[in-house]
Amino acid sequence: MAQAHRIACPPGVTHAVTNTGPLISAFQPNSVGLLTQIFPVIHVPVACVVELEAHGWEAEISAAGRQLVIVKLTGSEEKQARAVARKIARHPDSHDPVAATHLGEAQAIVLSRRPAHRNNVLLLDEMAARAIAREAGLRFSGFPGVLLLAVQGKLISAEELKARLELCRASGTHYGAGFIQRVYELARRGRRRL
Amino acid sequence: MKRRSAHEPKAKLMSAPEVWEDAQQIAEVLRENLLKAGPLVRLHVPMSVFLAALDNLSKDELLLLRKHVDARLTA
Repeated sequence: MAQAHRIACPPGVTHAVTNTGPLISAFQPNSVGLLTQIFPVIHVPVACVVELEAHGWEAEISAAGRQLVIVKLTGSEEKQARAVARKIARHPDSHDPVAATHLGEAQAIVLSRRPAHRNNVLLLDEMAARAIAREAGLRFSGFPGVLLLAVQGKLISAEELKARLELCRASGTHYGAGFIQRVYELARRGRRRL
Repeated sequence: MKRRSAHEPKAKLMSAPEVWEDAQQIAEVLRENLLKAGPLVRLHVPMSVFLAALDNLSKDELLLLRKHVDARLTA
């Protein structure tokens, strides 16, 4: 894995900034290769790396190599992230009122606000954090949205999308059976070129 | 070996219609960024140049290409 404050994004290329959840969802069905076919570089803030390591994904972080860039926020950004974490904790869709629990997604949101990421995509699954990202005018997607795009771009089939989401579910990620079936139906309905 | 676990398994996640919006959102960003790279043109290259270019593809890219070729051959 690479560690850098800033990695330039060449014209025509889209990078992603990720929170912990979508990256674990990519690790669970071995889909980091697919993710990096769409986003050649994925930026992950330090708070998310701490969470990933606590969940036992160190080997996968290392295996991702230079395509996963760990970013340390500045002091001022860390302060902003703590404020965003408090906002997420207070949101009606939040499952946990403890702000510290939301530091990963808060850091990902603050990192996405950097001008360098203005044309990149933030990966975020949780409803409360997505609501805050929407308020901030950020462009984001959850991991299932990336898979759906991959089907639409003919990188994988609708059946492969379903299998990957089911693997996430079997590994503990909260994608319900009904949700997976509905996303699968969407994937079967609309395939188009990227 | 440490057991790998999911993150915040009780968190409320997006709905299926939002997944559709997510995919459209990414497609829009990718398209905007591609257009910033300059105008796109249809390029005709000698077959030998195309075959030589394959030598620079990674394993994942070759597997993807094989999938497309297989789909075309069976269509």
